[in-house]
Amino acid sequence: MTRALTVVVADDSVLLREGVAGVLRRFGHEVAASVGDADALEEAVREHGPDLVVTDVRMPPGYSDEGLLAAVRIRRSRPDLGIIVLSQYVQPAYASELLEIDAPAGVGYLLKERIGDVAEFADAVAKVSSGGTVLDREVVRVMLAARSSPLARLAPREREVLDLMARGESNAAIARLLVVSDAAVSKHIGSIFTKLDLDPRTDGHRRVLAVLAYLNR
Amino acid sequence: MTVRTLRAAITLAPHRFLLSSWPWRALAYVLAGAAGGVLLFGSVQALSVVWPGALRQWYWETGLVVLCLVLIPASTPLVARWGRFCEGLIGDPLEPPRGTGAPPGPRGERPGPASPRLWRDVGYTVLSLTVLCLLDVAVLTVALGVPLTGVLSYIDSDQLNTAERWATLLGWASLWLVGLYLVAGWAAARSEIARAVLSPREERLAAELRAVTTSRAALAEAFDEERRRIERDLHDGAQQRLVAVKTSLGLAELDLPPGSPAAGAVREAREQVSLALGDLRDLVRGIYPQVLTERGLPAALWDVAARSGSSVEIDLDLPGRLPGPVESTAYFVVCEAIANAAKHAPGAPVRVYGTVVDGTLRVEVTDDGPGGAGPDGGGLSGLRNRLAVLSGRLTVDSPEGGPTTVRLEIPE
Repeated sequence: MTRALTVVVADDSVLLREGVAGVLRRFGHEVAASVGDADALEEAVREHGPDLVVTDVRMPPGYSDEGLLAAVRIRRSRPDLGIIVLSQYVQPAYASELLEIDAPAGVGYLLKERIGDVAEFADAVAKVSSGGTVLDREVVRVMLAARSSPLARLAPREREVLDLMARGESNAAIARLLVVSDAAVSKHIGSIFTKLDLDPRTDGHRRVLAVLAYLNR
Repeated sequence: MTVRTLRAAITLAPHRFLLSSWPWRALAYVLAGAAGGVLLFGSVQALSVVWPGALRQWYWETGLVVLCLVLIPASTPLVARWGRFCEGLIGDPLEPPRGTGAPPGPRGERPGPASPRLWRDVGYTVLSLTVLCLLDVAVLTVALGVPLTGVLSYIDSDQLNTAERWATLLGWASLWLVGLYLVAGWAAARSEIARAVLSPREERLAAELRAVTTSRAALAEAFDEERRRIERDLHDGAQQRLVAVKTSLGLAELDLPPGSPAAGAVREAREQVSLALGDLRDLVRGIYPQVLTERGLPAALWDVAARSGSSVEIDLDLPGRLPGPVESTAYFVVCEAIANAAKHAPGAPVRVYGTVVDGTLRVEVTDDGPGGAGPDGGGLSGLRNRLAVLSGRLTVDSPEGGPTTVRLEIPE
C-alpha cells in the first residue's frame, strides 16, 4: 500500500472533480479541498499545504490554460510539491512547458480520461508524489510517431525503453516490464542517449526533460 | 424569394401584388414626392390670395430669382435627404448615413462645395421640385382623382336604379386598382431617375462591394468562432460525461472479483469508452485545435507534423502571434497541403517553411513526391475562398517528376 497523501483537486466540472476525488479516496488518500478555478487552487494550496495537486489545464475564467499556468506558479513557490496536470487532450508543447520547471519534485501530465484507468492513475499519483515524472502514453506515442525526428535512429527495443522512460518508469521497472536484465536496460539507455547526443549521466525527471527538450527543439 | 424592390413587386401576380404592402408604399412614395412641390406652389397660391396683385408685380420676377438662388441651395440638404429616405420605401436604401457602416473615402472626403455629391443633390432638388413634382401630381390626379370623380358623381345619382348604380360605382371603384398600378409604375420610373441622379451606378456598386467585403470577412470570422464553440461544447459536454462514465466503470471494476465475468464485462465497457474518447479527441482536433488558439501557429503545426503519417519538418520564423484569422487560415491550408502530400506522395518527406516579410506571412509546403498535382488538389479549392477573404494568395507549383510546392501569402 502506498503512503496516504493530502491532495488538492482543481477542475471546473463538478462531475470530474468528484471522479478524481473518488479515485483518490478509494486508494486511501485524503482530498483536502476540491476547487473550481485557478485562483481557488492557489488559495487552497496555501491553506492546506498538500502533498500533491491534481489540476485541469482549462479552467475559468478564460477557459484556456489557467490550470497549467497556476501549476507553474505553485511549483515556483513550493518546489517540493508534486503536481499532476490533467488535460482533455495532450499537447507535447504543454508537457515540455511543465517539465521546464527545474525542481526535484514530481510532475505528471496525463489525459483526463486516464482517471478512469484507476489502477494506472493511482500508480501515477504514487510516482509523482515520490518525485517521479509521468507523461501520458499518448504524448509519448505522438512524439515517437513523428518519423522525421531523430528517434528514427533508435532500434525498436530502444524505442520501447524510451517510451517507458518517458512514462516515468525506473530502470528496474523497465527491466521487469520488458523481461530483461537491469544491465540490458542500462545498456539500451546509454545507447539512446548516445544516439541523441544527450548526457547519459542525467537521471529521473531530468532524463525525461532532456529527451523532451531534444525532441521539441 | 423575398421581393426587395417595387420593380420586382410589380411583376408579381396581381392578387399577390395588390394584397402586399407595395402599392401603399408606392403611393406613399409618390405622395411624399408631390409634397415638396405642393408646399412650394401652395405657398405661391396662398401669396396670390393674400396679395392678389403679387404675380403681376415686377418684384415677383426678382422674387423668383431670389427663390432660385436662396431657397434651392438652402433646401438642398433637406430635400436630398428626404429623397434618399423615400428611396428606402420602395427599394434598397441608398448609401448608409455617414458615420456608420461603410468607411469614408480614401481621404475621408465629405461633400464640400466642389464635391460631385453636392452637385448631384442640387440637381435632384431642382428636378424634384419641378418636373418630378408636377408629374407626381398629374399621376395622382389621373390614378386616384378620376375614379374618385366618377364615384362621387354616381353615388347620389337618381337616374339609375339601385342595382345599376352599384354596378357603375363598382366599375369606377375598380379603376382605383388600375390606378394603383399606374402609381406603382410611375413610382418605379421616378425612383430610377432619382437614383441615377442621387447615386450613380459606380458609386452604388462601390458601396455594395464594400458592404459585401465586410460581411464576407464577418462571415469567415463567425465560422471560426462557431468552430471554436463546437470544440468547447464537445470538450465540456460529451467528453466530460464519458470520462465520468469511464471513472465509474474503473471504480466498479476494483470492487469486482478479478477474473469474474462481471469484471470482464466492465473492463470491456471501459475499453469501449476509451475508444469513444479517442475518436472524440480526433474529431475535436479536426474541428478547431485548441493549441492554435492558445499557443499559435508554430505549436499547432508542430502538433500536426507529429501526428502526420509523413515525415514533416517545420521551420517557422514568425515575429510572435499573428491575427486570429491569419493563423487559422494558414493552419488549415498547411494541414490540407500536408494531408495531400501524405496521400499522393506517401513516404516523401515534407518541409514547411514560413516567415513574415513586409507584413506578409509567406508559407511554403514542399514535398519530394512525383508532382503533377492540379492547382486545386484535395480541398485546396475550398481554402482559396477563405484566403480571398484575407486578400491572400495560393499557388501550387507541381511539375511532373516533382517536387510539389504549395505557396501561401497572407497580408496581415
